[in-house]
Amino acid sequence: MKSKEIERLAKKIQFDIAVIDHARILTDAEAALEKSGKTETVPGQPNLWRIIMKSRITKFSTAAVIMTAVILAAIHFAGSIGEAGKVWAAAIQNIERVNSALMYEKRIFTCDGSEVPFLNSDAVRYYSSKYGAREDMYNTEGLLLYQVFWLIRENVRIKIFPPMEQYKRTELTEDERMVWGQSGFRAIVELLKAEKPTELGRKKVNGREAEGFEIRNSKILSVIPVRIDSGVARFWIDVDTSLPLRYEAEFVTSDKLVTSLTDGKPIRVEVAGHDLRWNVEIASDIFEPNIPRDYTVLKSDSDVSFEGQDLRDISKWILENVGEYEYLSKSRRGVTIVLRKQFLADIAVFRLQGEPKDVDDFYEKLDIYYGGSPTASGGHYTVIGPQMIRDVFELSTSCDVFALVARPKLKVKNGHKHLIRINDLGTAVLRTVQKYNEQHVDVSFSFFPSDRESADSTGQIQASIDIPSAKISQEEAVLYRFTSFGTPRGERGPDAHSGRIEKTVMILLRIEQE
Amino acid sequence: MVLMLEDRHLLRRLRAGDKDALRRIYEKYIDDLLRVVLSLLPDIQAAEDCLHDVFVDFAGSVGGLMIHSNLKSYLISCVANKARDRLRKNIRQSKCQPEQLCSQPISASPLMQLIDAEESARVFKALAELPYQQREVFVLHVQGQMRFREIAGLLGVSINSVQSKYRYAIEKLRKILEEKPK
Repeated sequence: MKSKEIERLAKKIQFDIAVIDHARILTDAEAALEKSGKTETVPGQPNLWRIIMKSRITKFSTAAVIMTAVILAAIHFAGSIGEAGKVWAAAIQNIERVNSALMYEKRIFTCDGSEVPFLNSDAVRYYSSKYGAREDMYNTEGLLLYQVFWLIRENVRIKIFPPMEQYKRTELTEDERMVWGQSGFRAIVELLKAEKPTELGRKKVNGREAEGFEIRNSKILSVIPVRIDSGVARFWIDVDTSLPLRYEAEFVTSDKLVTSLTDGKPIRVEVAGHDLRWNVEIASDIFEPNIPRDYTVLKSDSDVSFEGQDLRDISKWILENVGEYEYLSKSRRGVTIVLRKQFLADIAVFRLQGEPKDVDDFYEKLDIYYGGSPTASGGHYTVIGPQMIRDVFELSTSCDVFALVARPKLKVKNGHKHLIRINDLGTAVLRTVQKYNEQHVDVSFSFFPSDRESADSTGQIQASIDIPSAKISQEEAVLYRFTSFGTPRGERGPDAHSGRIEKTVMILLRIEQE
Repeated sequence: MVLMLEDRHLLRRLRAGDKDALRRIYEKYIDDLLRVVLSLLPDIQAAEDCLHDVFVDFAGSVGGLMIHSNLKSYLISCVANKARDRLRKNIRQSKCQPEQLCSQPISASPLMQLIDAEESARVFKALAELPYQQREVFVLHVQGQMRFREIAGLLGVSINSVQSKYRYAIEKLRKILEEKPK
């Protein structure tokens, strides 16, 4: 008997579900649920990375840098604050020898006493007196949202936004140069000489005896590019090693662009630094940004900010549409839909991109969820039912290389055009819905290189799909799929090898009679 | 793999104390969980107790749970852990016959249905003869649809070890199944 046959038979073993007492299990589980008393006041935990990246919240990275500077500096000048001087003489000597550091940080955002979980993040931070600093910020699910490099030698700050495949390079500001522009941490001492830390006494931190200090409403907060109403920083120094064990900081901000996410209510940010490691060996390539060649430049600050009203609308929209949907930004490029009749069109655009090893999981599911050939190129479509529609959305959130780009619900009239941005695969033009009645929709659309957006550029058409009379019911949708191949990231140019990266765009179109 | 969208919504509702969400999760996954637990612990009472403990723990601690895999894998992992705990504690089990447990599998024709039912029952009996570790790996992979790397993570062993146990399980099952029925 073959292995596959054994597996098949094992999978087919069915048990009579009535053999167990479900009522007992459910009753007790419900009682446990009641007893747990756990409630979550925030209605959603959507993936807001795009909003987060485009708001000023990322500037808390700078805030975090400053807070670390506070810690380091405070250790330096601790020798001048009376009793602590005796305690910290060794710490000063030690910290003066520090020329590299690695630490982990957790940030928790709250509003009106309730956590705002989708803003929470974790960060890994690297420091080198030789190279500068780097921070990697992740959401609570481990997705890398943001990297920032402060590079002393090059005098630049480089921000990379992996989810957006964009980056930005700017000169260090005067404040940043003040912190990072001089070797070692000595500049920070000068910056904070005027501070008067409060001694907090001793306590155990991670089982070790630690001396605490606190700084409130430091002038250094003015350096942070987010308006801070109040701030306090505490740091705990290991009395044996004379090196920091932990730091904590709390800010309250009413900055308009940040609080737009909470209807203008102030946001409290708690920062906790842990696993602080000093004078660790950090490889020089840690401070090399290695921006993938297909990342585009985020051109100006205007690209990364919204008006407050926009953010409120986005926030409201997201909370109403529970799910992990990215913000749809209007673009000159995108899908143009020309319709002959007024109706509601529920459209979702998905993007898949990855090297073959990365898309294995995707294709494994695709074979289940999508009837097409996994290696198909050109246009494919299939009509799918309600369950499959749900599965496609689940797929979009369960596969690292498969992301939902946009999901607008459009109320459109005959001849109206709507643009939906599609990254990576150039410009897609959904050209014509030739006719629509309750059962049928005729569609044709074409893909163009990314720098083309006109259907008249006939010579530039890479592929087109013509679907005559796809029959769909009210509950069904048409899933269009288009795949092309490109060169793996970072391998363009003369040194690129022959490996290919697969790029797929899927458009799910559901039409509702108005 | 991250949490499926519907499960994410259900968990959110559950964390807000929604009993309907709990019932929905239960109904959604009970078939899979029952298949796994009865294959691991072929004893109805033990299986029921195991599922009971899993759901009570799950509902009671859902506010603090950090589920990074999908919910089904998470629940199956909990079932596997509970089953293993019961074995470690040497809780007495009474083996039951497959005909007490198995319902008719779905097949294309009545003939195939009969054959498959008989064959599946043989596989079920053969499973019970496997050493527990091999059975656990086989059941989690085939019936729980967990990947080898997920199983390795759950059991705290290397993926090679899991694959090796799986191969042994298949070989032993083949040997048992190819023996003529007595």
